[in-house]
Amino acid sequence: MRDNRCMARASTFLSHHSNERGDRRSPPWLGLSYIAAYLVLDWISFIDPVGPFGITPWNPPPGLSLAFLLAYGPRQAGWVFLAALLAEFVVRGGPAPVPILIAMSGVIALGYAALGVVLRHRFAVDLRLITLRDAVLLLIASTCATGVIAASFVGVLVASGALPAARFLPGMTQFWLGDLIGVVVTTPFLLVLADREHRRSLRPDALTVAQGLAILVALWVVFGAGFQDPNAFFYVLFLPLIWIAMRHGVAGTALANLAIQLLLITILALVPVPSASLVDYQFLMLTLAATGLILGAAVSERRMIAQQLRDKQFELDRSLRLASASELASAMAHELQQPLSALGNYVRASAVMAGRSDVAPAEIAATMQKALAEADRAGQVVRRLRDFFRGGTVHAESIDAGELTAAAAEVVRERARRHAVQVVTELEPGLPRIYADRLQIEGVLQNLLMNAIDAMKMTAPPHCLSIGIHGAKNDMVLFTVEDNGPGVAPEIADRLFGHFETSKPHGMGLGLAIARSVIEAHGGRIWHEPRSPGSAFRFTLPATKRHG
Amino acid sequence: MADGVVHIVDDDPAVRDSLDLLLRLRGYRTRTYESGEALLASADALADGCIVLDLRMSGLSGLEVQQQLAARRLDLPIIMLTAHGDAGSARDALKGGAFEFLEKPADDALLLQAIESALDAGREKRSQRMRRAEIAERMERLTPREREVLSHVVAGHHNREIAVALDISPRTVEVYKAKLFDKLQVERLPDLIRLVLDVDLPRLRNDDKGNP
Repeated sequence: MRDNRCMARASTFLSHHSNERGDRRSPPWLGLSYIAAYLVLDWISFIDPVGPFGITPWNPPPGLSLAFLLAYGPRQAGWVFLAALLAEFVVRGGPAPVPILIAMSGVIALGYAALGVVLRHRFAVDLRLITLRDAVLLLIASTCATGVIAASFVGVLVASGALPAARFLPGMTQFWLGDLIGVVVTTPFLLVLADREHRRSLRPDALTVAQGLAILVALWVVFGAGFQDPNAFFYVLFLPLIWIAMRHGVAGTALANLAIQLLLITILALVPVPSASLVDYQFLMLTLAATGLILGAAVSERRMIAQQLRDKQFELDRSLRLASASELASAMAHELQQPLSALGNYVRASAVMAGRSDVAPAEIAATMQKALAEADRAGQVVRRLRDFFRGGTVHAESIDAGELTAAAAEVVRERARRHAVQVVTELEPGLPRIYADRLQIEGVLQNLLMNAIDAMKMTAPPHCLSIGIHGAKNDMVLFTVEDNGPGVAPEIADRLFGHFETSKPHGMGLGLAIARSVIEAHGGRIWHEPRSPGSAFRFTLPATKRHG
Repeated sequence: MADGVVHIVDDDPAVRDSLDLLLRLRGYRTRTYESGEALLASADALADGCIVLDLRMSGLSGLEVQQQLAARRLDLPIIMLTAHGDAGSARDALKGGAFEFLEKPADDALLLQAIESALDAGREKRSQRMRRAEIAERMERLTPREREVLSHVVAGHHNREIAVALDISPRTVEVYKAKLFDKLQVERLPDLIRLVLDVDLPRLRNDDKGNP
């Protein structure tokens, strides 16, 4: 019974969590802005068309559409349809009867919506494109989808008689390549622009100018150096792209791809090329963009993993520090017992002296002075202990209570599994962020969770450990850690947060005392409530807005 | 007030000084050592009394000092003091022959009581040691033949059995026994046996504890 409830609550939490990176909310002006951008892009890129139709060597509007659908979900397909249809009239003046234009626009809207759904929901592609897997999936899925869309689009034109059947294959090929290049160049660039981290990594530095120059030099070598066949030296363009990919990851590559693409189009518009070699350039452009994207994503992924390793190491160090709290307490006990021991002896000696007539008062005073020095020494030890657990200062920041709890729960997950403890988390939706020192609060949560698991080891299963996070009055957030273990013995319940109180045979009883000082240093409160069976520990922390 | 010196070993000057002061005020004779090494260096002075030894010190630990004292056959009772009473070191100390194991800050009455009984035990050991030395000296005077007869007597054999075993007449056995009684300064057979047991049994008991 209890287990089932645990499971149900756990799965609710999980689904809540995975939805966090879900569709963005769409403001009302969004669709109109998209249409405007689509029309502008379509108008700019309507170069070298096949007949009067939107079949061009470089077609960025689908890239915009795909980024739009990926970011805001397939429900935006209506806007895509509208944009495609409007473009036919505004940019190309209605080149075919309205039903055919509707069919063409429908093919585009449906096709890219489907591609978006497949990428987001079938393959769960991370829109930041910071893994090799995500970049490769985007390339492969886009290649397939644009192929199907191209066949359908040109198929509609041929079926309606707007295009001769003989031109189906070359038309489709060009449409396919044009759309694919548009997607491969435009979509990653827009996705990169939408991510704050990526935008930050794109800030220009001293090397940016050099990298831009390298691209120009490479283009000059390909087109300006006077070689007979520019195609033969196209590979020179890979060099600056590789440099940028190695240095800036996928964000830099996306930007460089776009820049190279625009420059190429400009050059091709100025330098007359035979239309046969146009297809060659399309292939070269596609290869260049895809290679850059894959390399950039690989670099980004390696960096991300390196960063994660560093973070993990840092957190591990910190948790080791907490884990060694018991050894530390033992060492500190020794440090503290020495002065206390001497202090006691001096005071006892003074008492003995005071009862004697043959001892001069000055001698008693000297002994009391020594006792005082020992009291000071004990005080210093305590201050050192406190500084250690503070890590010097409280480094407070605005943090997400759910993430914090998930991180703490992750640390005890293995231990919970070993003792057959079901861990469930109940997170009240729409909670404000809390203002706290992440590592310290994580330590407190870990401590409470460990205590709960240790307590439940003593009773028969089922073991249910529940973590609750709820809003509380006065802009506070309330954390609850509840177990169904044996509970806290009444005789120690009211001294629970004092030093050296423990029900564990091997514990030093410092955990809850430290937890209390951490919580109170944050302006919160921690307390214990008996449950039948088990016990609940609750603490409050201030929500962020109170501080800022 | 007991006689015998209390040897205080602690690397913390305040702890050493305060305990020294307190014990002297209470009438004990004391000597202080800043380390286990210092104690071992003046081992000649460790003839009597007891040792109050801190378990955790820089340099030799209390347990190591205890081992080295045992290796030098110095059997002064040791009161081990520790600031963190972990069960492991308490067990090791007591197994190594420590007289008492106390946690710091030690209860005053408890510590005094421990010192008192440790000094008593030290005295007891010393008198035992002296008696043993005296008996050993008497034993020295026995001839090999007399010793042979003694081992049979202690084993509870009758004169006749001893005579057969040593291939002598029962009458001669009587003569040897009289000489034994005379040399070991006892008058009756039970006294003789107790004397022999006094020499041998403590040694046997020490062997049980793993002492050399």
